[in-house]
Amino acid sequence: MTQNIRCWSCETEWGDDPQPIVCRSCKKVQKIRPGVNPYWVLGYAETPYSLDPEELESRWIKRSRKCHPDRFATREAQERRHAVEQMAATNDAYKILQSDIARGAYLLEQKEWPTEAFPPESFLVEMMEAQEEAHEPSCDRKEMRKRFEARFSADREVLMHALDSGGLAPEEAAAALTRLRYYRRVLDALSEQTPEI
Amino acid sequence: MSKSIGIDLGTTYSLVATVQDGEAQILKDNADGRIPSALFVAEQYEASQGAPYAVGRAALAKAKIEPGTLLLSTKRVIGKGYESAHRILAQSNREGQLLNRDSRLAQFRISDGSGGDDVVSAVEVAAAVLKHLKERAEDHLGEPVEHAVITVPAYFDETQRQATRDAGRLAGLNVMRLLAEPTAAAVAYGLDREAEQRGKGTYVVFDLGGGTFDVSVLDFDNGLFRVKATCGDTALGGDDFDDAVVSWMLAEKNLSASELREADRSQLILGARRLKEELTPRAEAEIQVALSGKKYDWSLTRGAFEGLIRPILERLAEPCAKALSDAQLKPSDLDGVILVGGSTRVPAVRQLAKTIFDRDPLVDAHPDEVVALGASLQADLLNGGDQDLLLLDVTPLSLGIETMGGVVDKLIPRNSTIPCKATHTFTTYMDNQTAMDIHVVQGERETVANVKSLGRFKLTGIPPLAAGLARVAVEFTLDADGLLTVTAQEESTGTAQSIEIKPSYGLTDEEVEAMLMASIDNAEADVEARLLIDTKVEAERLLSVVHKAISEHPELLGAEETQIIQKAMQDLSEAMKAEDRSVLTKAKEALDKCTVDFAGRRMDASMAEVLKNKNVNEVVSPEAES
Repeated sequence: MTQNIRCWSCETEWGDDPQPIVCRSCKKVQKIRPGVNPYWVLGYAETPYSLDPEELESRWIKRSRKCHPDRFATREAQERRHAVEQMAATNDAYKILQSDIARGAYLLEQKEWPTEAFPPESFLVEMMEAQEEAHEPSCDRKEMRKRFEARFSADREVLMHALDSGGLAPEEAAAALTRLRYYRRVLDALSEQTPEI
Repeated sequence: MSKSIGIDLGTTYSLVATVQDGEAQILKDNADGRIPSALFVAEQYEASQGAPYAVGRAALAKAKIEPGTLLLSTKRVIGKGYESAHRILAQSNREGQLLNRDSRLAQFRISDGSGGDDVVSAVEVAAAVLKHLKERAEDHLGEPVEHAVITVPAYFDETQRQATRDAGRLAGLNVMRLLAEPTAAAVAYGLDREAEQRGKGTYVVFDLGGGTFDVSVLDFDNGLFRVKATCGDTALGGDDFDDAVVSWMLAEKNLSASELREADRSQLILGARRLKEELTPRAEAEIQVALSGKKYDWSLTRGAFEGLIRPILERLAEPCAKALSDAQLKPSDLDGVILVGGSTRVPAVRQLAKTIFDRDPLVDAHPDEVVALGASLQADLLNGGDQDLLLLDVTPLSLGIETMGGVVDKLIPRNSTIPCKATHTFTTYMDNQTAMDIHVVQGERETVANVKSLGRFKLTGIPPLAAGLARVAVEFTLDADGLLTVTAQEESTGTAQSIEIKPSYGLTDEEVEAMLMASIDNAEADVEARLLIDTKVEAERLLSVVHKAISEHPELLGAEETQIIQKAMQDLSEAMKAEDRSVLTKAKEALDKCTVDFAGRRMDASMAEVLKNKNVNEVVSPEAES
C-alpha cells in the first residue's frame, strides 16, 4: 500500500513508517505525502472507527512534541517548511479523528462508499421542527439536548457496527452518518441558544 | 550560535530579556527595564551630530526642549491602512499626524520645520524601537545579537503580525518566532510555578496593555502550554484611559484639542498618563502641564477617574465571556487568573477581573516583565535550549474566502491550533478559462464588508480546458507565527503547477499579480484571447448574480429601475456574443453601475434575514465554486 518514498535529501527509503517525521538515516525533516491517512500521522496501525479520546489526545501531543517547528528552528529553510507541514498535518489529523462525523466520512470515503444519503421526508420535517424548537424561548434545552445526544450516540453505534465489524450495507452507514450531521446541527443550535454566563 | 533575545514590543513601553545560565532576565540600563515605545524626529539637525532621531526616554526628553515630531503608541496602527489608522488616531485627536500618501499603509507626517513633509510608517517606528532594544542587548552581552522572538497581541490579525515581522527584519533581526503576549506571560509564569510544584491546570491570562487587550485560556502541564481559546480587542488599552483623562483635562480648562499645538497635545497625553499612574497607589493626585509656556494645574480623585473610564471598562467583559465559552469552560473550572500588562495595575481593572472570573486574580507576577521574560525563554528554546517546553498556540480569527454575493466561506475556524491548513478546490465554469480571483479575509462576521481583507489575488496559468474540468486545489497554511501562505495546484493535467504567494498589507494587487505572473509560464498563451475569456467569465458571473438577485428580491426594485437593469443585462448578453473586449468591458461596467444601489438594498435585506434566523447555514448555502 505504501509507495517507496525516499528522503528528499539523502534518498534513503522511508521504510516501514508510512509517514515519518525525520529521515531514519540523515534525520532531516520529511515532507507530508499528499492526502496522507490521518491514522498514519498519529501512529495508528489500524483504522478503526472506534477510538479512545484520551489515547487520541495523548498521541496528538506526543507527535506535536516531536514535529513542531519549534524543534527545528535552527535547521535549513526547507526543513523548517516541512516542519510546518508536519505540524499542520498533525493538527488536521487530530481534528478529523476527534470528530465522530469527520472520522466516519473519512473511513467511508476510503472504502469508496457513499458518504451522504437523502433522508426520508418525515425525518427532514422532524429536523426542521427541531431547529425551530431549539430557537424557541420556551424550549427545555436541557431535556432536548439529552434527547439528541442519545440519538447521536445511537447512530454512532450504528456507524461503528458498519465500519468496525462489517455488519451493515454501505447505504445504511451513509444514512447513519447523514443523521449524525443533522443531530449535530440541532445540538449546535442548542448550545448557541444557551444564555451567556 | 549567538545569543538570542526575547522582545516585548509594547504600545507604550518595550522590554528586552535574555536567558543566562538557564534563567530569564530583563536587560535594564537603570532600575526600570521599560523603554518608552516613542520616536522623536527633530525639525532641524546637523548631520555631524549623528542620527536625526531619538528613541525611548531620549525621545521623550528631546520632545520637551526641541521642535520636532514625537510619535507615541504607533503600534495601534501597525499593519493598518490609512483609513482605519485615521479612525483609531481620531480617538485621541492625533489623526493630524497622518499623511495620506499610500492608502494601504498608515504613514506619519515628519515635519522639517520649513514647510516640507517627510513620512514614516508604523513599521519603521517599530523597527527603530527594535533596533534600540537590540543595541541595548548587545551592550549588555558584549556580543552581536541577531536572533529574536518578538511578542504580538494574541488578537493581532495576519497583516499586523506580518508588519511586526517586517519591522524586525528592518531592524536587522532574525525573527525566529512571533509569540502571543499572553502565551509568553503564561510561559514565564507557569515555569516559575512549576519550580514550586504547583504548575498544572487551566488558567486565564488577562492582558491589558497600553493599546491592546487579550484574554487567553490555556492549559499547562509538564512543560506543555496549550492555548484553548483566545479573544480580545486590538484597539483597547491604557491609552484609552489616557484619552479619557485628556478629554476631561481639556474640558476642565475650557480648551479644545484642535487649538493646541501638536507638541502640547503630546505633553497633555504624557501628563494624563502620570495622573493615571499616581491614582493607583493614591486616592487623589495632582498634575501640572505647561502648554505653549503657560502652566495649568489639575487635581483628580480615584473615584472621578473611575467614572471617566467606566465606558472603557465595560468593553472588557465580552471578550472574556467569549474566550471562556469558546474553551467550553465556566469560571469555576479555572485554576487561576493571571493579570498581565501595566494597565492591570489600575484598581478598577483588578476589581473587574475579579468580578468576571469570580475569584481573586493572581498578582505575584510582575505584570510588566512577564511577557519579555516568556519571549526570552521561547527564544532560548528555539535556539536549542530546554527541549521539554512546547507551546501550542491558536489563530485568534477565522480565515475565509469570499464567495458569490460577498459572503464569507470560513476555511479555518478561530482557535484552531497553529500551524494548520485548509484546502479548497475551485473549478472553472467557462470553457478555456485560464484565471480566477481569490479574495482571502480574516474575521468572524459573515459578509466581506465586515471582515479584514488580507489580499485579493489572481490564479493564472490554468490550462485551457472545458468548463468544470480544470480543478485548482488551493491550500491555505497558517504557520507557527500565524502568517498565511497560499499555494495552488492544478489537479487535472498531471503537469500540476504550483503557485506560491504571500498576500500582505504592504503589497498592492499589482505587485501580488506581478509576483504570480513571474511564477507562471505564460509564453504559449495568447494574452488577448485569455483576457477576453476572463472578461467573459466575469460578465457571466455578474449576469448570473444579478439574475438571481432580481428573482429572489423583486420587491426591492422599482419599475423604472427594473427596466434599466434589464436593458443593461440585454446589452451585456449581446456584447458577450461579439469578440470585442472593450465593448464587453463597457457593457459590464454599465450593468455594474446601475445595480449598485440594488446590491446595497439586497445586502441589507439578507443581513436582516441572517439576524432574524440566526442559523446562517440555513440561509446562505456556501457556494464553493468561484
